[in-house]
Amino acid sequence: CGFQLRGSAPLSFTTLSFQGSALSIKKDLKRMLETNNVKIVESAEDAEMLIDLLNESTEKRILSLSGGGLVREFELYYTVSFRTRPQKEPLWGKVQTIQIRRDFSYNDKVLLGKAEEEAGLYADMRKESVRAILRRLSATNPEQL
Amino acid sequence: PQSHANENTPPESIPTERTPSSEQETTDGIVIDGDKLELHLDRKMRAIGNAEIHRGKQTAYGDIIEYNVQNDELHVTGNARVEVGGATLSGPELRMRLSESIGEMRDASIIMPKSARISSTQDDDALVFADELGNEQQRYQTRTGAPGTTKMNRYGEVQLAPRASTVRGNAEHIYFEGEDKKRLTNARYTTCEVGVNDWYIKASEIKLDDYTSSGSATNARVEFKGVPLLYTPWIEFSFNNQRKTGLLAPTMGSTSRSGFEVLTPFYWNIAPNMDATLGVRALSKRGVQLQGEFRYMEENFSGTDNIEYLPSDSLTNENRYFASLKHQHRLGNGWSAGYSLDKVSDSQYFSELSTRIVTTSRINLPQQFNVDYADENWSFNAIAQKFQTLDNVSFPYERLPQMTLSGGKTYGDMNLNLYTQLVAFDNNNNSTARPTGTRFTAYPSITLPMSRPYGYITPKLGVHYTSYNLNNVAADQESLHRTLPIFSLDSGLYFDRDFKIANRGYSQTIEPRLFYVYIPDRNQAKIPVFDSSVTDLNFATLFSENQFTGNDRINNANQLSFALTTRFIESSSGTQRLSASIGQRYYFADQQVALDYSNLSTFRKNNSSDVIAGITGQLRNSWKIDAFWQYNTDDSTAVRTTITSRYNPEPGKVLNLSYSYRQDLLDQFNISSQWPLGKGWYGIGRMNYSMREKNIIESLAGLEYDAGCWQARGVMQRVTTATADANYALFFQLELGGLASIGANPLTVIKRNVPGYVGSNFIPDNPQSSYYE
Repeated sequence: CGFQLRGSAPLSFTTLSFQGSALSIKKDLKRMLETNNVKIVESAEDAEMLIDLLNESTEKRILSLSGGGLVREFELYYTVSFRTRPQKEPLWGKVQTIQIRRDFSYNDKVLLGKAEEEAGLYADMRKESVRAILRRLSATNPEQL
Repeated sequence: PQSHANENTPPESIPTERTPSSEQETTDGIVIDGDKLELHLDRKMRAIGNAEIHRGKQTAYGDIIEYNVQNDELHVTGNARVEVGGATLSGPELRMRLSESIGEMRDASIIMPKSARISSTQDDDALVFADELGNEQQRYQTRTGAPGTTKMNRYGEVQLAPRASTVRGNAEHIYFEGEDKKRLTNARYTTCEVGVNDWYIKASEIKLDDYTSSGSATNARVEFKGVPLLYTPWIEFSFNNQRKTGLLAPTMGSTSRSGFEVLTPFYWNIAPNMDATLGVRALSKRGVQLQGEFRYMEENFSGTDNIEYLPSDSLTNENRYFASLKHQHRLGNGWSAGYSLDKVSDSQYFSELSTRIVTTSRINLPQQFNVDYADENWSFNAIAQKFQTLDNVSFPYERLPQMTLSGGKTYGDMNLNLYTQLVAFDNNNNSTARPTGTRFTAYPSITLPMSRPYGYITPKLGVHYTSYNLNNVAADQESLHRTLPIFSLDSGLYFDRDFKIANRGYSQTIEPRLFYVYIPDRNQAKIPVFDSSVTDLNFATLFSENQFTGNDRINNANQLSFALTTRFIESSSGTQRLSASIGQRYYFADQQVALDYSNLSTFRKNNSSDVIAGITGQLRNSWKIDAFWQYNTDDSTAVRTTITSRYNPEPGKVLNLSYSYRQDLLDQFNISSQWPLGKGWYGIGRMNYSMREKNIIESLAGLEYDAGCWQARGVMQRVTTATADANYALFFQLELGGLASIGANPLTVIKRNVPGYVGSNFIPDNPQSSYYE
């Protein structure tokens, strides 16, 4: 049906340098890039591709209430924005935003446990955003720009 | 006929073009033109009939123009019109010293068209500050941004800014006081279009500053449709929607608990990174509530303080208050610290004095201090936390304190991880007697990740050790230990294929994942439950070792989890358009560990978990859908269904539909929308209906009218509160362009009820496709 095991080099560049803020996902993103045979370099001059991590934010919204007005479900959003630039280009590309959503049930009687569950979901959303950034990066080809 | 005069340029050098723009490079050059021209010995020039004079960026027109070259004096009589920095001023007569832009005009009118706005004076720090604090917790919404433009907010999302509007006025006298400054006496000011006279500021004096796009008025009266709305001895306003100190638009309303109410907020723009909003809220049934909110943001710290105080409530005869103090501080070298302290005078405070579900649903208000540290390998968190519990039942354990240290180091292909935690659990004094004590946990582990672009395999081996020193328990249970080895194996593969739909390239992935865990059984019946609870089953917890949160319960496990995910990705951008997953867990051992050992009937009987499935899609940009199902194959029953979807084809047009079902807990649907009804009218509505309780949980209906230079919105709302019967609320708000640039209650209420709502003054005239990615 046309499916093949993913090739060994989905990314069109071999060196990348991080610019901008030190976001919580940076460490995971670094590791993921290294797995895909990209060398992380300090100086922008030595890199084929630059990534500028701009911002990350979290938001917690009430998703549903019980008939008595108690929170029964929360939804969580994790949003991260970044932009990329091949080293030889003078301008940064369009700001790209990735937003991930999760929900979980809630009860004030188990507040401490639910707080930990929430933290776990945020961690999972960060991991997913790293994979999403990698997919965006594999669509970026410095030779074609 | 045309003449050109300057000390350095002889008058015979006549430019060939009549357009003043060609003269703008020679800023001190003067071009004068008219049906008839008179020159008097290079000293005085006179143009009669359709006369005009250009000097730099300034242009003046009139029936007769006289210009004295020597003392730089301009005198225009008859239909005088002058253009300074984009603004056009007209009147019967103008006197002006051109080089200094100093002069005056009688019975004059002023128009500053949309295009003449200065947006470069935006302070980026102020922008970030306002965005940072503009979340739902805030009572007042702060707006910034260049008018009529879309720009990125700090998340890089396209954010709508208020539309540009004309600024115009007239005055008995207009005094020019330099290039950017004008002073108007006995003046009127509005942001309405020419011919629309819906509202005005009438003032004995108005000062306008083009450079800062702001103004101030003394002895000012705001009139709406001829009706005086408010009087103030002094008011500052911005015609660029910047934050400005001044009175904000009052909000009127009525609630079933507190009667008729008026909130008059005053905004104090202390500094670009600091502001305060003070409010007086008069409640007909209760008295006068004072509100204050103080926000600050420096490079290394930021915070928000909120105080509400209602002295001697007429209904309860008690002083009532709410206080919330929040602060976070970066200390350097990876350390940070902060506090968050919330307190209310009584448990009915929110349900009686608030109509915001974010507060009325609150049961536990935290009072906590935290210290954090993070570096490349280690992270440390210490927290001291208590709660004010409003329902007198749901008391969480107090953590006084809890310290967590975790980290990891890589040695070659191997990762060494360590998680340690020490907690002292205390009981709230009002709670029933429960066990308390200290708990120590250490969980060292080794992982050996083997990762390739096409897949990965990660074995992990660890030892989870926990010890307790307990109080309020039987004598032989004061000291407990538990040691558990934990082994897991995580693995996944990635398959791809490329295809095309209507000339657009897509790539589809198939990603199977397998996760095996082994944890032996230890009877944990004697261990109290401080912070453990059962997690929801989802695609994150399907692949976790322990289905319990916290460290009081570690499940026994000999189980295999399997999930299959497929994604559709746009090849050109790498954007995921759709992803779908399905998964299940298979048990090779019976459940032995539970939160509550006394109830054996809750123990799992099946050898497989419920099947879970989920879909997330963002189709054709305007449709978003997120759905999740959990299905029990043994009982053939639905355990959980959550569907949320949004249709948002353009700003101001949004429809949200959602359905939420949890067995024995929830069964409700939710519909909310903002929709244009034509001629500037917008309908806003929301209904949340519980089929389980057969009643409406939340409902809201509103209308918004956008007249261009003012907006009016009225909202009716029913709120089910956690600590009392439902509260009904009615709010009305009038927003005058540029004046009341900070909205009050209805906006936050609508935003919470209708996700995707955009205030009608933020809806661009011609929605750009760039609104979406």
